[in-house]
Amino acid sequence: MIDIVSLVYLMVCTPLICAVLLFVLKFMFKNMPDYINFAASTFLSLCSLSSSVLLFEYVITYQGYTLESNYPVCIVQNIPLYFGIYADNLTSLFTLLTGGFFLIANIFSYKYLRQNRQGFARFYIYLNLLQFFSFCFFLSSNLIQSIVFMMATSLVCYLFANFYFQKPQAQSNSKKLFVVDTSGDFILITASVAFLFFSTLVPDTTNIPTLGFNNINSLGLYSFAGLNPFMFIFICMLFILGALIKSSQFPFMSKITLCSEAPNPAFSIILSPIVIAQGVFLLYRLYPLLNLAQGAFEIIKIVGILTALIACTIALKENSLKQICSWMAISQTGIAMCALGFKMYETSVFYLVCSGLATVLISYTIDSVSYSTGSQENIRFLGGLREKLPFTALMYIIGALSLSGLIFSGFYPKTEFINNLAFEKSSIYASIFLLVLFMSTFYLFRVYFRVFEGEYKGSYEVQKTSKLMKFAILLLCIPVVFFGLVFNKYSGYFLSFSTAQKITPDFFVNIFTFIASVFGYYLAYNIYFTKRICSLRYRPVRRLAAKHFYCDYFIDFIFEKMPLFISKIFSFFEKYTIGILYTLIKLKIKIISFIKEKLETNSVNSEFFTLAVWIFLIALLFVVLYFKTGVIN
Amino acid sequence: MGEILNIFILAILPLIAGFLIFIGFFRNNTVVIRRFAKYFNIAYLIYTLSFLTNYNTNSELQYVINLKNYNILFGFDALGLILSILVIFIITICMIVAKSTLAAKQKLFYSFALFFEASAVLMFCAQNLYLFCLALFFEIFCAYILISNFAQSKGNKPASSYAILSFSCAFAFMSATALISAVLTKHSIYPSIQNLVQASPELSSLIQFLVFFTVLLTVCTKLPIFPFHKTMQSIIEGVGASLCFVFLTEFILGFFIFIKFNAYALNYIFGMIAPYLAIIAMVNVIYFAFLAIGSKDLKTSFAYFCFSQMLLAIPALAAINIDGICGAIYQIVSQSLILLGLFLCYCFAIQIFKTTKLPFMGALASHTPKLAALAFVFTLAGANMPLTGGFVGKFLSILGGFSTEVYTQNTIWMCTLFIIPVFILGMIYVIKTYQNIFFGTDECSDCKAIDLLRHRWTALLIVAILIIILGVAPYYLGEILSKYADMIVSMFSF
Repeated sequence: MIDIVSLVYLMVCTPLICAVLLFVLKFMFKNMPDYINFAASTFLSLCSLSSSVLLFEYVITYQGYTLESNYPVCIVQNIPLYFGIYADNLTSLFTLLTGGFFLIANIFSYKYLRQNRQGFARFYIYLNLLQFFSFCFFLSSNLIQSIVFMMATSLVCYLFANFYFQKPQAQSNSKKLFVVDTSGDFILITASVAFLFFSTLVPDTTNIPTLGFNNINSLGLYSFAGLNPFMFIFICMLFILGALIKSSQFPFMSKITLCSEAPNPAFSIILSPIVIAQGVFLLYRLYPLLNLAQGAFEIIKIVGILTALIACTIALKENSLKQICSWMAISQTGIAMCALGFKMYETSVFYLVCSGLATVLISYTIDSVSYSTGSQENIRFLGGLREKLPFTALMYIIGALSLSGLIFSGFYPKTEFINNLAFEKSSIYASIFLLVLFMSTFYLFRVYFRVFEGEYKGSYEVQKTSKLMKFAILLLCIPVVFFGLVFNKYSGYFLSFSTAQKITPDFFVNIFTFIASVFGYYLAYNIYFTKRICSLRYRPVRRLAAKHFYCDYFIDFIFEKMPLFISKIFSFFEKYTIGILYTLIKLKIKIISFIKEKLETNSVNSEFFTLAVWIFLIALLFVVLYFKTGVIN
Repeated sequence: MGEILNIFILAILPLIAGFLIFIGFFRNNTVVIRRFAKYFNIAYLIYTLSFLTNYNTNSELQYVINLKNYNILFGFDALGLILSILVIFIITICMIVAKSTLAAKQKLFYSFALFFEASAVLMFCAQNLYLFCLALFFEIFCAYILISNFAQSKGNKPASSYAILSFSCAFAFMSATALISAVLTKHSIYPSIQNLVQASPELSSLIQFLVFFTVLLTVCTKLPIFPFHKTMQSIIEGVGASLCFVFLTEFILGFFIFIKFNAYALNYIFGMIAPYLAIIAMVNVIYFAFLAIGSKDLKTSFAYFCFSQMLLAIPALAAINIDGICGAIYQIVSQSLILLGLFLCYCFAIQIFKTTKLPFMGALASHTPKLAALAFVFTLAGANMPLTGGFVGKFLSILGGFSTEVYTQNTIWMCTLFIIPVFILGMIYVIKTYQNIFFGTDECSDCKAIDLLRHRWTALLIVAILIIILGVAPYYLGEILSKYADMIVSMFSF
């Protein structure tokens, strides 16, 4: 009988085994059939999912008990670094999500890759590696392990973004993505090393594992007591900055849009909370630490709501389906971040999971549209697909309704968040949230009416969605419909650490939420379906949205233009200052050797020559002096 | 066993092997010469590795030769031994690669490569000052011969400028050691490095300052600090794959002289000016990192990248604690291997494109997938990704920076925080260069692109494996280094 710890390790290693297996098979058999990759990957993914279900059940059964196991993998300078698992309710929930999303991605990708006929084995290898790294990240028992696997995830995202490396856009985007992502990782590494040092300043604080999440509270207290407050806050700010970069928050929002050249199923995985929300997850883990730093949560709150608002505004202007999906995911992550900023831990997790499920469902339906219409992603050249793809249209509607908070899973976290905001009397944040909700509903239904209603404007003959794709989407649709209800009813079981007081929903507050969403739908319906209202055109906002609120420029400036500009200044300095210095030295040596040569060969009268040189030099000095003093003009 | 494993033999063996090639023992048969040099070096590497089982941290496997009442001391400490192994490994890899990159003058190349190796090992194991100076001069001479004969630039420019600068500094170094020897002899102390360490607190501050800055000048020519970097830059621009051991060894030797003389022997002065040294080094690191990004010439940008990565060891060393010193040494060891791998890959790419200009390179991955795969590993290591040697070096350097003693805290902390932009700039450089060479527009349609030959593949694979081992299992090296670092830290009494 296998014990639960071994089962978890097996679950973690299964995708890695699969990736290695596919890699070996690729080299051994050059003409290996595609379905072997698919079958092997899907089967092992199913095994992983089953294990994650068992883990989830175990954690739910033994409430309050955290599964822990640590193995020292290496010792760097007397600091043992551990690889381990730390499975509490939060971890088991995200592990379950990871297992589920990757199974669906495996099933969905087969037909998509058959159509594209490129890099079949490579895709499945990358996918399994991403699953392995995600498992390792969510189950991390310590901070260093988390960051290391976050970096590994960044690497796989880069590989996916550069999957079609023949495209210039893919090359340029992947390069930027790697730089931005890894910069966030380095900031986190620096912060965690500083935290490691300061948390061990007090004797007898050596714990297993090093910087373990099981002990993050007391480590935070030790370092808080041992440090000056400024240094402690500085370390916390570094953690927050790293997490913001990783989760594509303002002003690094366009980071995730750089992945848009990745294969569609992989892009959907990147938009899911298991990749995009890794930064938020890290902040969940560091919650006790951040709680000690004054102002940390204020920053998270402001950045979160700002991200949500800006991302929604940009999504209103976008015409590319993939781009709309990415801005949608960013805005939902922003709201979850904002909820965390209000210390609404449970609401934040609930919001992240429910909106993540709906986002992935919408993303897959859009992938399905793209598959059927020959990779057409511009909504201006689509339309009337409801009749040709009724199943896809239905699934999109379910996802949109859920994400706009009208019904299904999306309804519960949104009402919970707005009720909490009302309880906190944060009217500004509540108003902005309602605005975000309105805009989200508007652009979701804008997409629906332009893609599925009206007349088809494309030239490509629409293909039917394959059964495998439909099956994958259907699998995803079930949690989108029911998860919110179940979570809401049994939240005590799902998140046993939750100590927050349950607030009774206010009917009037809920009505506000409902009205905001319905108004968004109504406006979209009248502008894009019945065309009774003209589209609103407020030029300054449109311009800002078209330029992504200069977030692209910001990333370009920080990571490309500014280094190049400084580099040019330094090159100029190097060329003219050092160059001239070296030339002067060489010239001096040449003149001395010339004079020496002339003196030695007796070709000239040495005394007269020396005299002549002196006269010349003095004359030169006088000329320079005259010019300087302005006597000779 | 102790007789066989004596250091004198270790120092003299490559000299004999080089001499055999030089006098024509193999009758100008290039194949035999090449194979002899290669296999000799592999055996020599194994022989040096066997010293690891016998070393004693507090200096030293010692061996004394008595020549007419003048003792010549040989001895290894942990750092010397590790760096010797590293240099021998680098030269072995270069010899493997030289098979397909060296067209003529093979006899001269292999003999002087072995002489160069002997001189470097002699510097690592020399325990008296006279022998150290002798080895330094011989090393510069060998490097000059190699660069002047095999560097690919027009004329004799890098060789002559290298020789002028290095010999000038070596003369200054010799004067400083002569001064110290005279002072030590006056006090009836034998002029060895170990005695200098013990007697340095007794020396007057003026003499210490004088010697410290003279030695620092020599270090600046080898581990280049602005404005002494031009010579080393022209060497990197000129040398090919087979000759990259010259500049890598120069870096390693520069670091060795710095830690041995400046940090260890003259610890009083080092303790005083460590924060200033850290600031100067950090400014240089950032300056070179920016220059690397902007340059459009592959070799020029690589030279700047080398300088920025290698100089990162100095702020870590200036932290004067076990983590910092270990981090500095680890940084040098891992970066040497990473730079070796990257330089070899870049040289092979240059050989295919027949240009060093980055805008005329691109899409090599579709023609040479093996090279692209290995270059990607080195790129990741250069970007300090986890599970590579680069990551551990940086990790320890940051840890050392934060663990600084109170009196230097602010400066070193600030320098440590500046490591973040250096990380980012280094990463931008490696990923940009990799994408430019291996992806991008196809500039390889007319060129004859052949994927890695077997010996090149083997050489690069060995380097890649070693980098990964350093990242996955840093404990083995760390254990040796921490004792050595402890010995250095104990010299500083705050």
